[in-house]
Amino acid sequence: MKRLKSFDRKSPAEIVLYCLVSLLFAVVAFSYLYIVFWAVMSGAKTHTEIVLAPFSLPKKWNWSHYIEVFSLLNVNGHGFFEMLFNSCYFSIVGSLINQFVTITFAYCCSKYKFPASTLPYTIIMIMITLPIYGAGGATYKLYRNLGLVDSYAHILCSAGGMNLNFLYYRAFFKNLSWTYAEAAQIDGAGHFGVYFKVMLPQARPIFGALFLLCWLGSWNSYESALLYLPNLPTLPVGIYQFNTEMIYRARLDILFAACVLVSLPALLLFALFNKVITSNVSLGGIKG
Amino acid sequence: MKNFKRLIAIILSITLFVCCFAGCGKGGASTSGKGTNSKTDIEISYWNAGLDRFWLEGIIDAFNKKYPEYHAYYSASSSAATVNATFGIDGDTIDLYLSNIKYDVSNLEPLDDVLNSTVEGDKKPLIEKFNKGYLDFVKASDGHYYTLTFGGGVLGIVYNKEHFKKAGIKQTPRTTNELSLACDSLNSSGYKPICHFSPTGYWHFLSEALFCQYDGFDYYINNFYACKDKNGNSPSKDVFTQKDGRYQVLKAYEKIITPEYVLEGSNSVDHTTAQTQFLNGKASMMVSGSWLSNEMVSVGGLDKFSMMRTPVISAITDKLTTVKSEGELRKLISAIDSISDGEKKESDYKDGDDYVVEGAKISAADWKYVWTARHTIPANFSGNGAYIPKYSNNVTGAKEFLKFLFSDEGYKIYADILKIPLPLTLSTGEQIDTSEWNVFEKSQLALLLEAEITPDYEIAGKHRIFIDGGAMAFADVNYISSLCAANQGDRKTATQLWDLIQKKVNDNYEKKWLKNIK
Repeated sequence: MKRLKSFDRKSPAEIVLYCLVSLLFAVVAFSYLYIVFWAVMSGAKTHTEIVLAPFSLPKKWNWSHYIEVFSLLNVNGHGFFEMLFNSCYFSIVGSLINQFVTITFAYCCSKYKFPASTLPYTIIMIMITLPIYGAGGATYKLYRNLGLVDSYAHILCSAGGMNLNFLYYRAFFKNLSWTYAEAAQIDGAGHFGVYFKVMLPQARPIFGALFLLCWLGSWNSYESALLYLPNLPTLPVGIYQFNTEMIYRARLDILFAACVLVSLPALLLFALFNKVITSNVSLGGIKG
Repeated sequence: MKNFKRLIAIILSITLFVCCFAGCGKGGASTSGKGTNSKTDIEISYWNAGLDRFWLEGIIDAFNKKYPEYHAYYSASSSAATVNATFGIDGDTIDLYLSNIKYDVSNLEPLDDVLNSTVEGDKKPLIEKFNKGYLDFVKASDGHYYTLTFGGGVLGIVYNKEHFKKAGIKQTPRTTNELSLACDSLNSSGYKPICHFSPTGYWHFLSEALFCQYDGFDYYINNFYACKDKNGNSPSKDVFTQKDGRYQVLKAYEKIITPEYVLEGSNSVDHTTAQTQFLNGKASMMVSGSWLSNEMVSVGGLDKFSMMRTPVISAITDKLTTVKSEGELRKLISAIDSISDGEKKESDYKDGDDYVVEGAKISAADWKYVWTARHTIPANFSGNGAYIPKYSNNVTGAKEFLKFLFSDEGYKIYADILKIPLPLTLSTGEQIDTSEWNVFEKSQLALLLEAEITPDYEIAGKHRIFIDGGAMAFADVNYISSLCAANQGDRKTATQLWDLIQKKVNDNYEKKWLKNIK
């Protein structure tokens, strides 16, 4: 019998260990996949089946529940598609604004010498060590006084460059040679030209990775939308409200179907771009 | 440079710390009416729980059509905390809350004028349409009404009629001892008698009724919930420590909520899971309420179920002079039921001022005591209350809306959609149309119609020690899941539970509850 290539030059003990570790990984992977399958299956069962036999296959696969979600998922008159629009608007546009402001801010602080150019770094280091939740009341008052509560203009709140990603971008630009900029300046590029035509394109991989992570966070987050956008609910807010409502109405089937539908974009995106996300941001910092 | 950075860090830390308090300060209770909506708008905030939202949409549509000068609209949340969160805060624009706000009458508009009005199309004032027992309960200690219910309905022991028939139980239990015997019969026939949910499974509602049956409504409302002892001292710790009906309820439950009779897992499931199990025949009885059929539409099959009359607590014989045994008590209850069912008249049992039941003489006082006990139905009306904030910009409109809801026209719309009764009747004396109601829905309406007292767990307008003090949990008999704990080590007897409650009272009364209300 031909030995597998992976087992070449390995002792029997190593092969056993290898098999055990692989088995462990397979079990872990299965547990994750099973949860997804279980949620999809529960969405196609009846409420009674979910309660009385949560792990058995449905007697009949009721895929119609996935259609019913579109009419039942409703928060104070805001339907599924309205919430989908709000989710897309605040997560995609909001993340783009957030990442663009952060990367530009980090670029200026790392590549230009001016008084207090290192100050933002110090501030951010302090900010990430301090608990932010205590500032909730002040933040709410500030947003309300600025007219940013319950408004599409709330997206402007995303335009803060003082966050953890600043550190990633700063590290990236610190390691990027200024000779690219000098070459561009010789060809007549100004400061904006250098940034937009030379430096920013080189930061595309890290920008993409951090944008995806930011989007993922915004897409799944319901706390801020619940607090600041009561009349512009996003899909996670819808699911949050829907959760208790469907329990009261004994429709766990619809609840599961809704959860599956809402998590689909994030799942798909991760499946398609998992290499971008995992290869560009590693524990130690940034790979350019 | 290093020192400069350190200075900046300290300044920033202080600034951020101070910013944390920027949201504090004024912004608590508001009575100034800072809402911004117009005088014609009626903004309703609705706790969308077991009643769903369709009834409210039906009422709002009909109201807006009938009263074009107003525009009612609503927002809803299935979380009561979310709905209640805006109450009393600066900038609140809500004109009418439909929720379970705990009573703080200082911020609420009295509804006496709503009750005393006769709505267009009705033949008598609303106060005459409402169930007297309900009104007695919601009247605040200052004599005014600050809330009127929009739902909640009545509660009781709902039972599976097929299981009862197969177990040979011909008559629903009249007393708590008989309820225990019914559990035994069901268990012997292979049916799990009871299911409930975590933590108290609606038993606490039934406890209120049994407590009230034993000690009488006057004690219950004027002493216990007023936290007033027999010498008139209030607040009084004696109210919590004396062995009253609460202890008798525990003793009664000890024979019913046992590990043998309760469906396995009942102490750890939520209420809709327990209801789903119950409706699918996993258990024969469950304490539940009017909302059951509305909540469980997707499960269905309610024609097999009915709500029974509240069994009378067997220990009630302690309070009677002419009825001393369980057998005599059951006979007396049968006689009372025969009158309620229209089979006999009260005069058939009359003997001068007293009564005679199967040859036994019953004093008028005992007859009255047991009659009232049998017609005591636990309710959840106060848990679903309508409240108008004093600071509302449209108090008149909100009151008009309530009047419409309780008018004959509004109640018919409500009952048609929900198939749940409100504690009121039509002004014409007719019954609401129940032709499309299922057996369960009709049974709970029948119980409400004959109810004389509707005690409610959500105490309305009573002593602050329950509302703000922290004693609410001890207004009732807690820890009942311990009676049927699957783990022997966690299981407790009624006496052990009573001792535990007393310990909690002794630990908390002075140190916390009294302090909290000072």
